[in-house]
Amino acid sequence: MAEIELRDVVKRYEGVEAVRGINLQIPDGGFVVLVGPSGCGKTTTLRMIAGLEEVTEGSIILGDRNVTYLEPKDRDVAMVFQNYALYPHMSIYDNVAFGLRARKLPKQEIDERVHKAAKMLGIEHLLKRKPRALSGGQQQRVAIGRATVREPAAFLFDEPLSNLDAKLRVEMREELLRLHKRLGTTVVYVTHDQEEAMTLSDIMVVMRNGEIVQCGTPADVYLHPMHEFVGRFIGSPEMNLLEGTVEGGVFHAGGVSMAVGGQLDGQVKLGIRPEDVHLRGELPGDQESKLIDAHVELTELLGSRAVVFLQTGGHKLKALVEARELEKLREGELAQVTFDLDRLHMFDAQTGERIDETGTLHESV
Amino acid sequence: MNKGVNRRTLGANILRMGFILVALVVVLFPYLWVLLSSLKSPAQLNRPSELLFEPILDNWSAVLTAEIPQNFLNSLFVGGATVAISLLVGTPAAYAIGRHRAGGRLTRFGILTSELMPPAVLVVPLFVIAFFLQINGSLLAVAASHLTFVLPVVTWFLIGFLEAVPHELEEQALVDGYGRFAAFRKVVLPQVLPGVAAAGIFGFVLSWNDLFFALILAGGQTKTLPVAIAGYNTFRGVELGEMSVAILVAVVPVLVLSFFVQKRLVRGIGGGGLKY
Repeated sequence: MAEIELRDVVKRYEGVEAVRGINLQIPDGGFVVLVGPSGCGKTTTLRMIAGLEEVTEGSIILGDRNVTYLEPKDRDVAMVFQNYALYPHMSIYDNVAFGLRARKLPKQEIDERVHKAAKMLGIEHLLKRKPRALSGGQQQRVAIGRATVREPAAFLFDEPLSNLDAKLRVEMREELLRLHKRLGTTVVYVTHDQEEAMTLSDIMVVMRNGEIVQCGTPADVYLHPMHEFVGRFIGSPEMNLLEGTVEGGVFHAGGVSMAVGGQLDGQVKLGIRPEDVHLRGELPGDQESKLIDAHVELTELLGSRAVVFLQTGGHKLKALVEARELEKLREGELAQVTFDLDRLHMFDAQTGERIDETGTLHESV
Repeated sequence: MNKGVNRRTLGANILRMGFILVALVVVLFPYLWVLLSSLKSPAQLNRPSELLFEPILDNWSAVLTAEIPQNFLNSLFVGGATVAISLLVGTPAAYAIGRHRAGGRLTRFGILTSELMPPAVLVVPLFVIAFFLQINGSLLAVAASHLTFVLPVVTWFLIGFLEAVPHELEEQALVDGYGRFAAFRKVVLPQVLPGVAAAGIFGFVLSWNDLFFALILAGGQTKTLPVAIAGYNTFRGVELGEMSVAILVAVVPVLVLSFFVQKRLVRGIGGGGLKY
């Protein structure tokens, strides 16, 4: 077990900067998820920690060792790939034992460890089979077993669940969390799925264009996105963004205007999560904006909840409401909406950066 | 309606069978001709269209008690040595070119340009080098000359197979605790063994069939089969009967080997592509 530290890590491929000076501290036993759209550098970062990519600049510290220039085999990390990378010509037993044999452990200890890991993951009955005879979920378990059996300093996961079907993915997610609780090993996990990132991580690292945009607990990232991009990327359905101006504490955008308080004037983007858009009467409270008329364009039932697509003053808005609210709505008719003024996010229209709340905004109307 | 469809598939099948039959005759007829010739007396050989004759084994006994068995062994040795060296050198080369893009795109496809060079250009320098190394007239010299066209083909053939191995397998082995070479040997190589075998057989056949290099570089005691076959064209004329026997001796091993690797041969020439 060990903490991992990235210091000003840069990766350049033939002039293209894939990773641009990342600084990250991963505490011992932490479950850190790197999340972002494809091409954001998250996988490259993970591969640099594993030693599969050379670091162009900066350094990587694992525990008390500088591993920047070490071969992968000397780093004491285990990795699970998206396609599991099980050795097709070996039995499951040999697959799991592979890393232990590489470290020349005594035969009996290898046997004990393989069986222990197999038991923990419920793959004992598969040990004699070849990988191709296993289902995707079983292969996934074997890949995880092969990683855990080595008792490495850290686990590195590269989108390990994306090849599984939706139901199995949720199951494996729970299992990974249980496993992490049990072993307490540091985990670095890469995914493009924001929901997976939210549910798994202690610390969520949102990346874009080779840089870390925000790093924090999932709740923190969700409730206080530091950038318009984070606000939109994290959370489903996506955050509503209204582009407009603030003048004298009032936000104007097309036909919509609401008092947001504060002294800051200028171009902004106002972020409102769909669950903070309320249809009239849904949630009585004093922290609401005044009523705004909106056309109901479309409704989408998700189960217990529903997404309502609204149009007001040239703006499209999504509202996430309780499914029973749908009864009061007709597509094509008018509805009245209010916003939860406590939970508005204000971003600079140019840079996309969050406008600090401690400054001027978010005073009640 | 149903009947019409049936009739159409039946017609297509007959057409297909007919096509295959024609192809079979075209391919097999020469072999049959050689087989018949090997069983004919010199007098009968002068009447090639005569299909009914009394077969004799004179040609067979003459050939098998002469030098042909030795020539067979010579060819076997040359082919074996050529293939062994080609695989030993070609597999790592193909790995470097396919996996690590060594030499860039130029090498990837340029490696076969050596096949375009006329053997006549190479044979004189090779003869001189063999002379200075004092291996002229030896089987080693012949095998060395065969490397000039077998090694590029074997390497090119293996590139496709090695490219098809997912990178993650090798990377997994690296993270699991092996160095590059061990990861290649324990994880990558086992995936391409069928391809290696096919490449080996392909290379063996190329070497086995070569006449030109062997004719000039081999000595009297080290003739390979093709050279010996050509030898039946004597100043008295072509000894067709004995030559036919020698041809069969030379051809049968190739046919057998080709039968075993035909599928992979096609796949290899088509650029690898194993499924995982």
